[in-house]
Amino acid sequence: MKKHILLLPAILLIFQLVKAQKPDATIAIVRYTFSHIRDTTDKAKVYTENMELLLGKNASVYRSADQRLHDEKMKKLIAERAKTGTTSMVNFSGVGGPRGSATKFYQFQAEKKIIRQEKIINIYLMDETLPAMNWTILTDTISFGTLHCQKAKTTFKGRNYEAWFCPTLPFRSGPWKLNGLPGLIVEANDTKKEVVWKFAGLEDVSKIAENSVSVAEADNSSERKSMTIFVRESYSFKIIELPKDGLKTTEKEFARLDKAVHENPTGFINAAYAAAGSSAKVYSTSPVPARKPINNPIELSDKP
Amino acid sequence: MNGFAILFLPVIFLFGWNAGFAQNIHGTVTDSTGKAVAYANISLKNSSNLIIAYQGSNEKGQFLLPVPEGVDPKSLFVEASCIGFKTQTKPFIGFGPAYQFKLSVANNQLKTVTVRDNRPGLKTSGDTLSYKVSDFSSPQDRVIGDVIRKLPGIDVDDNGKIKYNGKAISNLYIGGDNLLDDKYNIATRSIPHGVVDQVQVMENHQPIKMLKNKVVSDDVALNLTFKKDTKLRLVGQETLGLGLPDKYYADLNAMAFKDQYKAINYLKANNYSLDLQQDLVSHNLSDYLKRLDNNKPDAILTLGTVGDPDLPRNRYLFNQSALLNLNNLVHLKQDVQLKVNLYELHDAQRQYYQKRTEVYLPQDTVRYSESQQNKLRPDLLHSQFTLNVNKEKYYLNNALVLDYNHQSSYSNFVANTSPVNQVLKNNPLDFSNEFNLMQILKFNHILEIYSYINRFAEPETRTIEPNFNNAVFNEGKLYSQLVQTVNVPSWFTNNYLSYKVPGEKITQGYKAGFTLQSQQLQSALNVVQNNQTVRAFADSSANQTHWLRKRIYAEASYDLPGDKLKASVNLPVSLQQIDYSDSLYHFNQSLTRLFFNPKISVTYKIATEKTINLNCNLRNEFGNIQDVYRGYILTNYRSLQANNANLTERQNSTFILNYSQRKAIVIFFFSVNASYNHITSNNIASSLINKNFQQLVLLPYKNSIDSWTLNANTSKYIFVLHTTISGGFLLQSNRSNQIQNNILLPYNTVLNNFTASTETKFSNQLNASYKVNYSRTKSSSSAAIPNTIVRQALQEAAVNYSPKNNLLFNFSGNYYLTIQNQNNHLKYFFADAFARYKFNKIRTDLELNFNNIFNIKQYSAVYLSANNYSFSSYQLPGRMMLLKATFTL
Repeated sequence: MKKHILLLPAILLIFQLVKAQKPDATIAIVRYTFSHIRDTTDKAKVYTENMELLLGKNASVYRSADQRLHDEKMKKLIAERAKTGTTSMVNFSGVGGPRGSATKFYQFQAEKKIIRQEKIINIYLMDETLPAMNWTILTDTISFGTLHCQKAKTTFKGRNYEAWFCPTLPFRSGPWKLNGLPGLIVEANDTKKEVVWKFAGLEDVSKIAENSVSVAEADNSSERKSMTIFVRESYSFKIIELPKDGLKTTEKEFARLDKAVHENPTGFINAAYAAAGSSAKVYSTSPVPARKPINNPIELSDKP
Repeated sequence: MNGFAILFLPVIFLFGWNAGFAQNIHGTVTDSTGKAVAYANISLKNSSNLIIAYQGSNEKGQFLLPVPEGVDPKSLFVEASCIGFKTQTKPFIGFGPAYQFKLSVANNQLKTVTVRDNRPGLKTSGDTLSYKVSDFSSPQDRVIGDVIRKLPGIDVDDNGKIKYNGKAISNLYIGGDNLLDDKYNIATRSIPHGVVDQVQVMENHQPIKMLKNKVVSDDVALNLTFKKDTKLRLVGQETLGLGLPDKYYADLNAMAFKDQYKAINYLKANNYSLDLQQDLVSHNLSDYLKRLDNNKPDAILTLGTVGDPDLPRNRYLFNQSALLNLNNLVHLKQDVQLKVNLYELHDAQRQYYQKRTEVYLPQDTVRYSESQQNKLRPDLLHSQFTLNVNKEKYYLNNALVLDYNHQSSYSNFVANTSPVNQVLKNNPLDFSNEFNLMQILKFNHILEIYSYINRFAEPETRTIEPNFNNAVFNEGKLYSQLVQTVNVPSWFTNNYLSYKVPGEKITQGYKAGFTLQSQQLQSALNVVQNNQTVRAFADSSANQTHWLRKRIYAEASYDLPGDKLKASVNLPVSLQQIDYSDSLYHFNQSLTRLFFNPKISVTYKIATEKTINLNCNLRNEFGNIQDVYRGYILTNYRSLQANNANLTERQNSTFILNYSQRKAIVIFFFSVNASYNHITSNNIASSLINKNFQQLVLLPYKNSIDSWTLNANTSKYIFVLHTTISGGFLLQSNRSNQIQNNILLPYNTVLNNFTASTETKFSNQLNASYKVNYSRTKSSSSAAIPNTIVRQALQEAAVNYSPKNNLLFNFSGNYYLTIQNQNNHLKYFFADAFARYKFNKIRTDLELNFNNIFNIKQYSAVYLSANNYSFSSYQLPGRMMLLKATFTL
């Protein structure tokens, strides 16, 4: 209980809302299969996640498709439960499907900014300057279906990257923080193949139906509130914009919060509920699992 | 080098693109209303449409694009692209003037680029082109050869020989290792395609590490890379099958593709007309022997004059084949490999052939007819041990090869109505050792020691019994056997020392060495009487010919291994002396010649994926021992061969011009090849034809053969149709001379050949292929005999339908059409089918296979030339059915 009290001020701190960047209409969606050897002592174990990159004229957002699908399923489940009235003691373990990361990266070309979005109950936004990548263009070529690509290489944050970009799609964006080539980055990897983005498809956005399930927002019951905490985020396909309720913070502050959560997750969540005016409680019967080590992060050094 | 720089310095200043001083091009990008377009991409592109530099425009639409040093400004262009606008290009007009781009708005830019999955893509990196196997494989494929056959830009012929953009490959590497040398059918017919990750084409492939970037190679090699999990385990597919009538099939294999250990080991057996000898084809053997200057004597005796039909082997073969094949390669240390290749093949084949021949002579027409029932029993044993060390500074290769064949053939034979039995035994023994050592010395100079030794003997015996043509062979009396024996035991050795001096641009090489060839041709034609006494057929029917060929040579070679221009020049001078004698005919001759056989090869890269190549070669050659023996040899039952001239001397000049182009990004390949070959010879073959015999004699008469060839090949993958289309065209003209019954016949043959094929994947469930091969052969002679024209068309079609993941139906048909003037059209249609069902849980599939559904049991071929008509007919195995189960390890 003591920990809750300590954590409360951290949550209640008034974060300044981020000055909104101009929203952009999505033109296309690229899908990537992302794989990452997180632990160099166990190279056989590869973390993989399906990612998507929404491309606009000026802006792009890179996010987890696995997490989106998971959240959409959860929303449906909650909506169904809301209808039948079984709202207390919801067991979410039945949702199924892989869970992805909640992190999103927005790139704004005109503003020369990258904004990283994280979610721990609330949505936090951290901005950094769009890294100017010094790409060397090579003569190697590859084609993915009708996408004819050329190779380029660069060094970024301690890794040597190879990327295949497509000059006929003049987006200057790419997955994660990669950017700055005269065409969309369709595939990329570091030369050790520890971090790999594989191309998994490109779609015209007009062919995708918007299917965000809206949660009954006007409902004020505390139980409903507790559930919306999990799924408050909406996943738009049509518009690339920062969430309006995002709280601006710094890397350092966020790291502190993140650490606190992982040391006492249930306590943190209950504290957060209390802060949000909910009487719901989360009970965890299993001990807190130790976080798997990432001794091989994507960014190996601070140097650009 | 300094002088060179001084010479060009003014030029460089004049044009203002001195090294180190990169220049900029500048300009603005606006939309059609004149408003600045920010963050547009400005790219400088070369003639291959590849970006070499780029920059974005700023908020005011301005850009300043630095041009890298050393770029050739010719054929460059500048492109501006931006989302929402149409891309605009402008030619490169120098550094001074501003480039003003006015972009017009584009709607629905992305409509056409929706890509749902990874469709075929080719990856290029330097001289390597990679095909992803999963992009090109279909459900019906079993082994990697099935996939390679379908790759755009790659062509595989009926023998399994692989060509990339018109050029035959030198080797097929297994995970980077040379497991099989040029016997790569072993791999393409055995490795399951599912374990292979990529097929890589390596152009200008130099397998010896220390010669890389020093000695030019225009070899093309293929490499297979394997999937990660495959590298850790044993790979294998075990198949057993039974069928009707009395058919069996087995293919049991175990393979490993580890980094340190490669193995392809298998046992195959069948009587389902699948020729296992085709696994053992050595695709580059003739090139190899030519390089060594080792002309091994061919087998001299045959059973008859009927050749095999011009159908694929599996249409006409009656066989009972079994092949045990073991190929293992171990990395003893880094860059040190030990390799052992062993095989044993046993077969029992049967042939039922008939042939009628008419030869039109000025006064007479000679007719032959023969029918044969042959039983062939080859036993082939091969072993090869290779040690290879391939380091940056040291190279060693030693290959020890031993081949022994035991071949017995039996024939029931009717020649012009007289029935006889023939037995032919030939048991060649072939032993060779090749040693090659290279070492880098001071100043990076390379010393090479080379030594090759070969022993070859092939005793041949053919008996014909009883009473064959007793009017000729035994003064009209009955007799027991006619026995022809021949053997040409040979020794050959080639040894040299070479010294290479790699320079800044050019590698110089100097070589000195010698070859020795020692042979005897021993033959006898004997008549065995009924009382078992033996006498020679005639005085002039035996040979005891001795042959010794000595050659010392010196060679200078220059290699320019540039990026754009590669060239190599070889200038060998050799002094040859040949002594040949035969005490039976009291001749003893000696011949000495000084030969200069230069060779030039130039390859120029016009652009990244466009290459032009010129090869010129002059060769002076001697004939061999088979051109000098004087006594008659009965090579087949009605051909007596002897020579009546001095040793043949030939001069052979070849010019080959090749242009090849590809555009990997859009999967497009194109090549054109033009070649000219001129051979002059001091001797000519003359044949005398009479009722019973055809006598071949070599006569001293100077003559020449000219041939021209032009061929072009192209292939393209069409993304929207999921289709590979390929086409090829060949034009060949050949002019030569023959002497027949003392009449000189100049011959002119023109061959036109046209091929086209398509391969379409309609969906994951349905794919189909179609192929047509049309050829027209026209032969004419100035000797006022009418021209003959033969036209042949072969069409092949196949459909594969896979309604479920684990179920597949295949139906295929081949249609053969042969048209000759004044003759009936010959038409044959063969159809085959199979169905396959996979039990995923037990990793087993079942296949039911039907071969020759329409039960065609007879095939005939008619051949008509200027003075020759022949009609051959062959028995075929007919309809067959096989049920086989395959278990995957």
